[in-house]
Amino acid sequence: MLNRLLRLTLPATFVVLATACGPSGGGSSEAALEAAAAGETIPLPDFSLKDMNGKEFTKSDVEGRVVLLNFWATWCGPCKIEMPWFIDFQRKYKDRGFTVLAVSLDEDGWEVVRPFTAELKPNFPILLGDDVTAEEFGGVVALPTSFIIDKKGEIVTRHTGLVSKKEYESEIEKLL
Amino acid sequence: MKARSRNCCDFTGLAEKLTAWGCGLSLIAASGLGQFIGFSAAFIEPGPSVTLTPGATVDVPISVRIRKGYHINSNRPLEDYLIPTKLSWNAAPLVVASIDYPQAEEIRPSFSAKSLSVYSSRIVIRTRFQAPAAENDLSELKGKFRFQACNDKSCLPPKTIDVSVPVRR
Repeated sequence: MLNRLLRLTLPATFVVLATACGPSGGGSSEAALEAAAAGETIPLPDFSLKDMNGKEFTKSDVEGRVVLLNFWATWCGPCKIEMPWFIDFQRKYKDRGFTVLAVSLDEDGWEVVRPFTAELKPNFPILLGDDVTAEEFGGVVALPTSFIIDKKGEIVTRHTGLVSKKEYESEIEKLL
Repeated sequence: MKARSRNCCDFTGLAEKLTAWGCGLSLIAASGLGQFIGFSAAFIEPGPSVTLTPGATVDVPISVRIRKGYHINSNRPLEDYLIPTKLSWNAAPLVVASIDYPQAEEIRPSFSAKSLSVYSSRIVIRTRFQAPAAENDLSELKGKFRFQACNDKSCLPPKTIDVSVPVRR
């Protein structure tokens, strides 16, 4: 399991360090897609996270659905570009068995997340995570980080950093 | 998402290693080291020690190197949601008279519709301390440097690193 987690985590590590070694880097989607193409998927880890109303979300709540699980934070500019896309995806694909789960990693919790979501008006669950959550997903080295999970509950793609709306859309459509 | 702190010397060591070993080796070294792998987009450069004269002021420059491709928010970001760069001190019995941050640059990265006030490359933050009239046995000035870095695709978690300036007797 650890080796499989590392295989999906390594591309993210490369993104951060490759950026440090040269001009600004891009997303890790290519490498992750290669891993996915090679059949290197990993099961969605067990998780239990709450939304701002205290409602608990677990792995079983998304079983049988294609999931875009996104780690973000209010201080992350690139994360805010993606949010309106996710609202579109949720509206467009919800009835075909798709859902977005957005997990905030803000240290200050709902105090800072609540005002942001009040403005955004998301049509998908916003959950609160922490370092432990991030580690359960193999470590989050930078934000945004998103996982695409298929209907069998396997993580098939990991994106670290901003990627295009079109790329997300193409991956989601393939799995629906 | 909590920042992982390291002390000034550890960070300097990491930076030197990254430079000396080359990025290829650092990729391998970093890949198995946990969630944030100790990577920092900014680090404190080693500076000279300071000499304190009772009753006098002393200026202490802190030099911060920011990795290529990254920026950190200035001490006065233009948006409320951004985390400002902040240098703070715990240097009693010295009193902090002023902390002067450098002029920020305004950029508009691809992910932002608005300009951002940021620092990049290398900055120097100058602190003026007032020493007490009485002799003291302070051996170092201790501080914290907090920042949050992004490149044009992603952001790293806010980080606080220790600052230490030796006092020459």
